[in-house]
Amino acid sequence: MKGKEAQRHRGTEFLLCAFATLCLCALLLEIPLQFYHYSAVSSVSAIPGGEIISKVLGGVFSGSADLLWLKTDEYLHKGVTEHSHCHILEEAGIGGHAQHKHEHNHKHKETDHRHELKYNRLDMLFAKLEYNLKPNITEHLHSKREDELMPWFKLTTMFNPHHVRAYAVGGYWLAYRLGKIDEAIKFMKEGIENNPDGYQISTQMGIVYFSRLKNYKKAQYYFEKALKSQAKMDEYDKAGILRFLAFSHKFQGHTQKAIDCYKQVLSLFPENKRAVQIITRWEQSKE
Amino acid sequence: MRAAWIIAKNVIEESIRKKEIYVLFILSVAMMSVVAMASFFSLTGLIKYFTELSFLIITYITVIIAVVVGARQVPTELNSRTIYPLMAKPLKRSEFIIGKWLGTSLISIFCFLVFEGIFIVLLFSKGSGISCILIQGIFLHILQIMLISSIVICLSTFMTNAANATVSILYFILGYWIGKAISDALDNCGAFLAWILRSINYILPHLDYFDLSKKIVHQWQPVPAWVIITVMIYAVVYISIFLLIGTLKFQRKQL
Repeated sequence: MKGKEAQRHRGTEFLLCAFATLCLCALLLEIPLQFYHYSAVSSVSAIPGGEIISKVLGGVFSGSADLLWLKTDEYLHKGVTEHSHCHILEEAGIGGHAQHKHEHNHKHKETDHRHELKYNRLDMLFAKLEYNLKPNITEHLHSKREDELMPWFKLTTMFNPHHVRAYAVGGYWLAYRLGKIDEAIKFMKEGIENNPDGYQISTQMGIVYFSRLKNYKKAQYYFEKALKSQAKMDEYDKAGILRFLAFSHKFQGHTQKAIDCYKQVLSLFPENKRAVQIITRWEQSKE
Repeated sequence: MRAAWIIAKNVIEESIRKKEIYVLFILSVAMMSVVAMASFFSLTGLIKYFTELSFLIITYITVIIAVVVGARQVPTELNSRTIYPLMAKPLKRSEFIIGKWLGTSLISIFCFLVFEGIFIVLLFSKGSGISCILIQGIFLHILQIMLISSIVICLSTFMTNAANATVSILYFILGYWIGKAISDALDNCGAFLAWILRSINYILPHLDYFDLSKKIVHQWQPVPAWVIITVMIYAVVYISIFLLIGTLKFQRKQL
């Protein structure tokens, strides 16, 4: 009897392990590879072999975070993520987008006819079923329900505290779309603590202080912090931050510093006529 | 069919005696309560997030119940030799398989409905209500449970308890992606491979046809009646096929 019981326990343990492994595999299969550089767990480890463990666990956590991040996009489009089999319906002229496209391509009837021949009735039935069973027409979330996005931003950062975009975009939604400025600042401060080089978060924080709270000194601090970031930054982002920094200086009465910032913008984009105009106007006002 | 019903009742009674269902019940209620009580940025009335996660928990827990209960049915009867007195009675082997499937389905559906009841109570407490698409979603999920139970019972005539549970859960997870994966692969393959992939696509049951969770979460309009009827026929066809395969295999076993 004891042997049988032990066998049953082993069976249960095996089941649990198998299930956990399967869940992990499923999760890993869904991870978009371009996000692999975000790791929730440090690769440096004190225990032997810990580096591998931390890499595996880091992959799982950051993978989960990426799935949660994709949820925000799904929620924004009322659950529409993909158009599986939709091309079959499009070619047959059935459904929302498909209907529109069909009307638009009305002149190409001959081509449509050739495509229709590729799919049999069973294909069409499966396609119609999928079309009706899954969200199918891209429609943006009603503005009154935009708060439904927020749990996914928070959960993304809980799983991967180095998900810079989740902090930056989440901060934007909180401050601008939901009017929760204190919560936005708290959330983004947490993001900056976890990602000192995440210039996107510092920039967003600066914009909140600049445009919402009109606190130009604090805004200047965050724009400067963003510019000091070691992370790779493209010229457009840098120019954008410099413009905000210039106006933060200007509104504090530091016109020369503002001009210097705009000169940096000009060095990045020498053709920028607007920058030349602003520098000229501010230099005249200084005199 | 009376004999099948007696077998089904035995499966239900045995499942009630065992502890797994109670553990899974407590686990799911605890998880749903955590999801319901979680607060984000002092926002209130977050229905979609709660609905999505609750549906996910309910789906996984009910499938685990169906797999745990269903996978042990035939192997346990064979190992413990309780099958011999049963087979000595006027009981057809097909009735035995149907009874096992019915019992597994009923206990899983009962658990599912209890979980849904708790979910609906929590939904009301959050200021939301029952929608038509939610009822459609519950109905399709019941069909899905019956289909998964038939797969598990069919596999239990071929495999051991652990192997069956692994394969069934693997199929449950991958069954949602078959259509999408094949559809993507079709774009980049030759005619022969495309024919094979299409055949696989038609042969394997698509579990995603029983999943209305996205439409429920995002409060879409109800699905047309012909779609529900078609999915129902689809489920009946596959359940019959799996039970038939299970019965044929079981009939060939020398007892």
